[in-house]
Amino acid sequence: MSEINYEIIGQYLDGELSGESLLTFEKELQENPELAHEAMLYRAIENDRTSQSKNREEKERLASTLQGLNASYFKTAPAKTVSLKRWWYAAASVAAAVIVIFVFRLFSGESFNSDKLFAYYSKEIVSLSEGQRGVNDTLAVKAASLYNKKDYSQALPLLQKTLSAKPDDTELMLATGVCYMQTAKTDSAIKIFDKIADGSTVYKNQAIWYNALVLLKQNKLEECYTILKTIPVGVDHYKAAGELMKKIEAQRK
Amino acid sequence: MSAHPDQQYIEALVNNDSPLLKELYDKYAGKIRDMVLKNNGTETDAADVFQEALMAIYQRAKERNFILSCPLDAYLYLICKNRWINELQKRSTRRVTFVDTEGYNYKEDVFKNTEVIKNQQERSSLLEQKIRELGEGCRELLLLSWTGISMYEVAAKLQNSYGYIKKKKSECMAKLIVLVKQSPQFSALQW
Repeated sequence: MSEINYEIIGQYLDGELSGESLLTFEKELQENPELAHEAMLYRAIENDRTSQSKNREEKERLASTLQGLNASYFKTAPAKTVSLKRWWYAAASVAAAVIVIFVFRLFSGESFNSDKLFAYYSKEIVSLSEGQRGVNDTLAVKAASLYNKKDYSQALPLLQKTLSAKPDDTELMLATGVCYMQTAKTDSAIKIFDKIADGSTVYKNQAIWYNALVLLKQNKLEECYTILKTIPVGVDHYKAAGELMKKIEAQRK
Repeated sequence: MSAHPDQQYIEALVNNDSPLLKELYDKYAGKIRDMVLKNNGTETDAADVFQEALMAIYQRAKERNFILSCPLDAYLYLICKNRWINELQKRSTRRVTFVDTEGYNYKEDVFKNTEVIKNQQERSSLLEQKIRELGEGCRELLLLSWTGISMYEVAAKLQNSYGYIKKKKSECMAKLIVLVKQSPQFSALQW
């Protein structure tokens, strides 16, 4: 297998090759199918990512319009995942006014402090549903109860045990990740949040948000910012994400 | 190929045309809700599936000139159906049985268009996953380079020389391509 020179592929696709070097490369592309394949992949990846990123604002505006229409055309069903969302919306709306004032007072005129911001945002953790854990499942109920009392170090071993019996339970997985986050086991936390963020469950955006909080805690502000940008308009944590992004932007100046 | 009159809804998505989008919801949201509700889903699931499908059509229309040659009805139903079956399969270990709530006769190009959208989404999701597996340095550089700013600006932001950043980007792309090619999904996708 010949060695592929990706630097030249990049230069070719960016239109930076000319004259003799362009002719030589194009000839090589025709004669070397492996090179042609890699160049095609390089271009496909660049196109996909650039178009995703380029239309971002426009896409967010459309998503916001659709979200508004969804609210008029679909009713919220009393399903497990939805009840969690509803709980969050209710809690969020009640707390919203308080939060706005609190954030304003907490951060106005103060320099950026990752630890303080983390402490503030990580207080708002969505509860784990105790009732739906099953009457016979005492371990899970105990874990959920400790978790909801914010006793993360005690809840963690119980959640790990429960999760090993139900490895596909995303809600449990998310809660375990939160315990890792709250007990400063950042690598394990990120691993779990990444896994959930890669899926398409309703917990996806919560996982992205918590992942951003871990990065905030580690003071990796640019990475935190990049992840926050991926939280779609109108979903859980979208407002808090926007708020945090503004703080990071202000910190850059 | 002449466009079907429903092409107006594709344009409505591209232009974020609220009144026309409302008309689109009036016509189609109910059918998608019925399909999801009859197949173990909730209203919220239906809303998610419907919105994701519309966003996927928008993305496709933005990427290349997209001419709808058939009614949007059948096409939208098929995209939503595929997405919902996928979601059901993820949620359940049991075999998923699906009840069709609409009896459409699909023309070949409906299947083809649906496949293109599916491929596009799976490709994007694979790339997102593999980008996360890259080291922090590569991830930051690549994400910045895709925001539409010039490589000179990327170099300035990362406080490095243009030459170094260009070279580093090609190294990062090489790593990403290896990760993508090693994934089990790679061979099933169109690039």
